[in-house]
Amino acid sequence: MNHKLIILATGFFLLTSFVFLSVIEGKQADISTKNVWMVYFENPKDKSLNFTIENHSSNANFHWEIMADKDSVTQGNSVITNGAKKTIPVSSDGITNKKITVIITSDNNEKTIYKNL
Amino acid sequence: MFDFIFSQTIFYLTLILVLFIPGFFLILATRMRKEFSPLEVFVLSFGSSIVLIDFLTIALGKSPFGITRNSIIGAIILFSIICFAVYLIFHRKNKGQPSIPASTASSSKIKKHSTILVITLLLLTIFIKTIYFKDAIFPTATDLGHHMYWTKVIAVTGQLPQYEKVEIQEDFTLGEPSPIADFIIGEHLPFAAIAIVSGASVISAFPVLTLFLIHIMSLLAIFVLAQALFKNSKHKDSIATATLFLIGPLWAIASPQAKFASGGVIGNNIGNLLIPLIIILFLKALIEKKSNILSYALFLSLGLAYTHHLSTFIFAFILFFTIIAYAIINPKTILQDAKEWMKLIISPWVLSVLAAGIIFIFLLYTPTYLNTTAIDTAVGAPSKATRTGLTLDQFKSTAGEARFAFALIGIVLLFFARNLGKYNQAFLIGWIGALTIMSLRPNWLFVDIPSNRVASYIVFPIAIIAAYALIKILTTLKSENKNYLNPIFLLATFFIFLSFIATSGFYDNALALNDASSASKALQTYNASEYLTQRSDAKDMILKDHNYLAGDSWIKLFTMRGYSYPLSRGYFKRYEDETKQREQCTNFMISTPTTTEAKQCYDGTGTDFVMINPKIDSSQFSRLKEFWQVYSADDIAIFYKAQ
Repeated sequence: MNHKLIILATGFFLLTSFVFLSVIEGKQADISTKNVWMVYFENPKDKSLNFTIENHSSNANFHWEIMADKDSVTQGNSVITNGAKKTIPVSSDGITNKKITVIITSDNNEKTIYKNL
Repeated sequence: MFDFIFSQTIFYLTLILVLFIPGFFLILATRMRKEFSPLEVFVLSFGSSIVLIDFLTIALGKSPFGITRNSIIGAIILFSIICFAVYLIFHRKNKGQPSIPASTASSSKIKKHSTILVITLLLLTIFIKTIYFKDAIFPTATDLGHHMYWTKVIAVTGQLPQYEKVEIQEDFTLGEPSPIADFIIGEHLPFAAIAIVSGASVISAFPVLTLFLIHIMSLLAIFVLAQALFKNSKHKDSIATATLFLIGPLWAIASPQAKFASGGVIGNNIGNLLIPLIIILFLKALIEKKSNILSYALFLSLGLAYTHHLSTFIFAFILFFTIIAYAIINPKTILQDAKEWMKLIISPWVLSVLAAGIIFIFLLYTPTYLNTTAIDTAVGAPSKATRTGLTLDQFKSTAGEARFAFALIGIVLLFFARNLGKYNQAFLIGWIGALTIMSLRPNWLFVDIPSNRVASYIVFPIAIIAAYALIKILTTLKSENKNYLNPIFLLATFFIFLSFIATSGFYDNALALNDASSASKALQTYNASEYLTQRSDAKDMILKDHNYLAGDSWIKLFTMRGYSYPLSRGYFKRYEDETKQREQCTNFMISTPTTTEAKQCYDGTGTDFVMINPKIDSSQFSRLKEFWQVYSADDIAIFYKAQ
């Protein structure tokens, strides 16, 4: 049995497999191909209400609305391309004893974050 | 594109530097290159390198140089130069002497089609496993996450890690750090060395690719071991090839095969490489009465002890059963043979390795499991239902039905196969005997280890013995002198066997294939982890859920605030352990955050961030005024407990 040939063949097969799997992993690790988006408060621990929309989906149009308890305070639209993020400043001055909810919708998908001030 | 090519090139060069060069030069220096076939040298170089990189890195960690890229590369180069110098000195001294004939001088005579068959089997093996890894290459596995945390600790600090964890006490507070016996440094040092030298991120394909490489090398080790075990048979290459067929493309995915690689079961994976290599060395040392080879076997055994306690424990039983099998098979010569063994042991080579091992263990670095708790955990009457032994059906399923059937025949044949060689026969019977009893009747041996973990080791000896039975049956039916079957029936018998085995093996592959990659969910977990790491500090305590979050064990690689950070709600059955009182805080704080116990847990542990799957666990938090939802994605949400 030609051992050297077996070693060379194994090395070649492994190299081919590793390169292929590395390319696959590179694609899988790219969150911008996963069609997801997320929203979060910039400062989770204090009472500030600035929030960020991070888009990794194909849809770039986002609508957001700020609710104080059940009342709408303000709303707006943002265009955020895939791979980009946008921070939207919201003032919390004068708000007390209210649940402030940020509702973001994009392509029938809704996400909510909130703080009880 | 250039970055990809560059990083790939660096990675493959690093693999060669770390996992091949040191072992190859050690074999060169110890004058053993001519003792083994090129394939044996290849796998031995690989296995030895894993052991050497452990010892070199431990030495660096204990030295003022620390574990850095320069120190690792420098240590490997220095070690290789020293080995090469030793080789040159020896070579010059023995220039006039003929070199020792290679054990496989006859192997060159074997026909070309054997080589092509082996290469085809390897191609098929690597292809099937690659198909499986396609959906498992992105790092999300729990065990791999735990191991890569320690790997990253070594890479970031440049020091040997302190294996410690923090547990929640009965008064709901966090206790002082206590040692962890479950992690062994040899599981992390090779990966840390590769990460440091290549600059590869631990959250990438590199850990799984490295485990894949180790796994393929373990298959080659089994192949060369089968050749060594049946060295006296004229069908040794056929048996080795059949073994590769039974262990390579068939049953290619289920544990302990590709699933152990993608799952990050590092210790078992390395154990499955080192155990066959150590058996090859013991076998050769005893047959040829060579103390230098015995010392090499002990060196690799020491490396195994620094890598995986379960594999070491199992190997000790294999050795013990082999001695018993040998004594039973050779009752008349056992005393005389024992004297020969003592002569081999009391030799400068062996005593030097033993002395070096003792010095290393007691003065330089003691493996974490060498404490009473760990030993008590493994030895004694089985303490749980999962440790009382498998049923025959479970055992058969682990071994693979067709392999199991042929192995049963093979075991019977082995007892009458005196022409195999007394050591060869003893090792085969001892290996299969030890694992069978440990898996089916652990109480007979006072073994207290999960029986399915032990049984996963049975796959390799079962494959070898099944291959032996298969070839023995076929060659007996068509011996040189007699043809017991008409050639057409013989061919039919061959294809019936082949179909039975292939159906069983490929069916197992199909069952074990992944549904889909969990990369999307895990990426959301990693995104949330980055968010929280940037916006919290060590005074905050995070609690995450292990049940419904993907890749959650990797969160600690983002925070890097200790192995027990963040706290984790484990699998629910873990909280109902009748044999041991478990802390309940991590369950209460997510499942029932309004209860008094949960509030005491929040206060005691200082937990203020909770990471959960919003589809399962958000309702209990959204009702509570003190919890703010501060992060929202499809598969993960973060709640903050406001003061």
